[in-house]
Amino acid sequence: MTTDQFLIHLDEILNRAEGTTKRGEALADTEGWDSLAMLGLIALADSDLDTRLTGKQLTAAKTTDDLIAMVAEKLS
Amino acid sequence: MTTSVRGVRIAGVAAAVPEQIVANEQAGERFGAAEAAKIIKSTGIVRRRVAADGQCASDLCIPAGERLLADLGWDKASVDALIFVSQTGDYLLPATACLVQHRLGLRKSCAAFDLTLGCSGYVYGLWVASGLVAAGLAKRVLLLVGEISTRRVNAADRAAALLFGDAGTATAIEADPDAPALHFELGTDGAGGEHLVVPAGGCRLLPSTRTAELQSTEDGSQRSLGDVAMNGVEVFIFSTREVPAMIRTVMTAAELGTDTVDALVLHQANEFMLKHIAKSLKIPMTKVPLSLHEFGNTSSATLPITLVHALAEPLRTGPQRLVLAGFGVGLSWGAVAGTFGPMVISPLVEVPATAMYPVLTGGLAL
Repeated sequence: MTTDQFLIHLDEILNRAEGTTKRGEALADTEGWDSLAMLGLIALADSDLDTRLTGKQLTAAKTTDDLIAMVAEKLS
Repeated sequence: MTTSVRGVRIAGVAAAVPEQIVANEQAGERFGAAEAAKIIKSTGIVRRRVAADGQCASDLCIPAGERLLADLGWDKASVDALIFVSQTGDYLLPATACLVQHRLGLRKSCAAFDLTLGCSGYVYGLWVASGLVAAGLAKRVLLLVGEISTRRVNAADRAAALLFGDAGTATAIEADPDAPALHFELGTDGAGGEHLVVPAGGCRLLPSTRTAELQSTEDGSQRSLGDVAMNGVEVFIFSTREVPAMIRTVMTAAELGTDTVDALVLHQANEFMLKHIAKSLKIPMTKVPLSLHEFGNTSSATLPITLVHALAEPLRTGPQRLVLAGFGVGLSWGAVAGTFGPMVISPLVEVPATAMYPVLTGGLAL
């Protein structure tokens, strides 16, 4: 999965139109970034990126760049 | 811990729910229509049954028990032990099972006790009941499992308000030397106890006016120390990581494969979580029956209510190779695998709002 594809998955998780989510976007200002979105990201990382995210990582994340960094090793 | 029990049969299951139906769509008035729709879509919970004020889990379990005993044709005097599994018992004391023994008209020489567990409680109840029977300590056990979860949820708590429903169930367990083995896998991680907790009401934090005060949370919800607090992210992480391993273990013990298991009955927490667990196990959702659309998360009662709601005919007519898995509050988890049925599955009992026992006041005025 590429970083751009990861961002498209984030669009889906956040119930946004494809191409909406950008790098460096502040999560506090992102509508839809809530506990349900976190579950979606945990599931995506588990099943598609073989990465086990933690609750602490997710609640500490400030921007979409922080989310990308959590799975960066698995992105091409 | 993996164990196997032989010579024990599950003879029947019944479930009872309150008559009152609450549609989650109605929550749009409080949280906004878009937010309510999003929660419904993710959790799969469309409507729930909610008990009337003052109605207890025992008020639901007893009609289920009455119906099951009648459908089985069991003489009440033949029940050797009564187990009541709930986190919402009638009183701090006495044990609800003692009151239920009397209300059900079971004999005085019947053993009766409570088990305080939630999402894993049905499997633990089956484990204890079948263990008593296998050990020769009882020939017939009535297992009552129910919860009034809605009583502990604040309607202003966005994370929990739309998830929980109320239900009471009854399961009959008896000795049968020809019954196939039941295989159990149980586990506990109390380090995660904080992720699903009602802080006040026990001895650690006694109820007071302070614990009843509403407080605001980071997500804009409101709840008090006497309400359930759920960290959904941590519960999801626990469930999706521990549960598949538990199910693989119990399926191996029962010599069941993904192709030979007839149904995987999962605790009805939320549909998104269940899909993720099934995907991890490579078991199609066609083998994962759901009841949460109609009843929500009824805690310990979700497994038996799913048997009644979604597997009644297969279980009435023939043997079914099943895995039942409960997981959540504690953190606690348990799974049982084996061949179930044919057995009695009673039709769903609907309990009117007026069906409740009077309060025992200890001689004081209410």
